[in-house]
Amino acid sequence: MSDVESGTHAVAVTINGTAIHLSPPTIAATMVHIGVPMETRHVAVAVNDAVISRAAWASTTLATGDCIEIITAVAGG
Amino acid sequence: MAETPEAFSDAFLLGGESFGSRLLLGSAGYPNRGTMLDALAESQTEIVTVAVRRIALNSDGESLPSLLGARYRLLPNTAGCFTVRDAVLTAQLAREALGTPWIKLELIGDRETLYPDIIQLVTAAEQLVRDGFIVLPYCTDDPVACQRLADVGCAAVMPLAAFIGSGRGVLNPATLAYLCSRSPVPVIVDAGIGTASHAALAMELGASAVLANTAVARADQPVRMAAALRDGVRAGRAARLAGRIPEREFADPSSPEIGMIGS
Repeated sequence: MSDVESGTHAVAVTINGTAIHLSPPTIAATMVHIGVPMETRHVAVAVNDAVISRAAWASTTLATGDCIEIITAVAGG
Repeated sequence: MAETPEAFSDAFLLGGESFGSRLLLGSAGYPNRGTMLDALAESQTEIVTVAVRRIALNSDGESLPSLLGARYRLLPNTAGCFTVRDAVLTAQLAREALGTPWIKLELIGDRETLYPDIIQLVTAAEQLVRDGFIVLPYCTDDPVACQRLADVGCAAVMPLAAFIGSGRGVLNPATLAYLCSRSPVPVIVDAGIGTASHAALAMELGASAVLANTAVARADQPVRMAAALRDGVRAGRAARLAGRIPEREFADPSSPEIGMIGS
């Protein structure tokens, strides 16, 4: 069975500057990869310079070449 | 206006909201979180800046926005951005993460001076205003630049007093006074404040508010300095509203000149 048939095919993406193969190609898998629970507050995600609202995380599918940024607020001036 | 108690109520209007404090503080560089919280409380600030960064593992306990969000209006910044693209995306991410359209827009043009890139700043400000943001741009004290930023819809301008983190105070008081007298939006002096007298002078010159971070966070006693800046801002504002005497070139005796003994 191919990865595609099993629904777990990996895509080559960049998460916060690090290139990885991600499977399945979802925001949820991205969160697992960086070790942040999905329900964590004050977190935002952008894919290819477009912010993905939290409501759209579940329906977002990632593709090879996608550049994902995941941020939060830290101390600043 | 009569000097009634009502005359002393002096709300700071910013972004369609009213604040009692005219001191904004940053959240970076304190010795520890406890000191930061104590300093913020002592300062009586209502607006606290935060930065936006890639999320990191090993978070030590409660997140900063959770810690501060209930007590203060969080003002995310775009510190470290050198391009319109990065600044706009950072602002949009901040809005999503913190649920606020307020953004302290920083668009740096030079790593050594951390001076803003005014051309890119105006472009980014215009885009963000159009996107519904309350834009507070860190800028130079150039009156023309500040006018351009107001023209594109910024809610305030935030001219530097001196280099970021330099603690040198208001290096160009004449320009700042002129800028404050002409600005159609509030002027919040940002960057370069080192001590209470700097904050007081900025307010005396007509600034609407002062933003400080390093001056408090890196003081030997941050909590005590937070109180000093609080009082400095208040004193400067009060002096501004009171209407100071004009400067004179020579002496002007304050005691009566008639009725002297031996006259």
